Amino acid sequence: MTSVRPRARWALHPAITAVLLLGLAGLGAWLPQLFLLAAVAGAAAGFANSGST
Amino acid sequence: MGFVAAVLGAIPQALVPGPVRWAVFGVAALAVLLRECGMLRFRVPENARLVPEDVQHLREWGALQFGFEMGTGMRTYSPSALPHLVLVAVVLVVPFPAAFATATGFAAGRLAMPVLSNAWSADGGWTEVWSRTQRWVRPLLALTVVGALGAVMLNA
Repeated sequence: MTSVRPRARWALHPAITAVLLLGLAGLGAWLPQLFLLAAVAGAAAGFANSGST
Repeated sequence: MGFVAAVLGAIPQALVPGPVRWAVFGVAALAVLLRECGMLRFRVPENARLVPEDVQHLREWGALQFGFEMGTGMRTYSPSALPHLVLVAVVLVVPFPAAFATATGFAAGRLAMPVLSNAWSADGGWTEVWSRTQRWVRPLLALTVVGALGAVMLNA
């Protein structure tokens, strides 16, 4: 009998990515770090297009 | 595309006064935010064609062409107006060097979906999760984009 170890799929949930990006945007605004803010804006926009593929 | 927008953006950013550019971007950001929250409806330009699977088998560089068209969204549907808002921001308010960070971030965001989907399961289950949660994930992403670009504008 083989035991299948359940994967921690919660980390792959789209909401986790969205919350992570919001946190990074907050960090970028707090530092403030222009390039981080610009990169996070691009990443969130790219991720929002996920339904297109 | 990001490079072209950044180069083109150098012209209005040099010629148009800051407050005018900020106002135009602000109106666009508000409209897109309301659209992503489902409170406003309008169409955005999109090349509404899926990339044919046989593109990657066309020639020696077919796989590269497939990746380019898929990754940049040059030939696919656009369910969100956030990429369009980012493009407007690159032209109007994002400083030239930071535009490259925006483009890199966009590519990473596009890459995240297939990576997460493949890691989730082989049966497309992640897409179903996305469909169920996009009702509130999309406004969250819109808030992130508008907030981050607003902070870029204020700190530039």
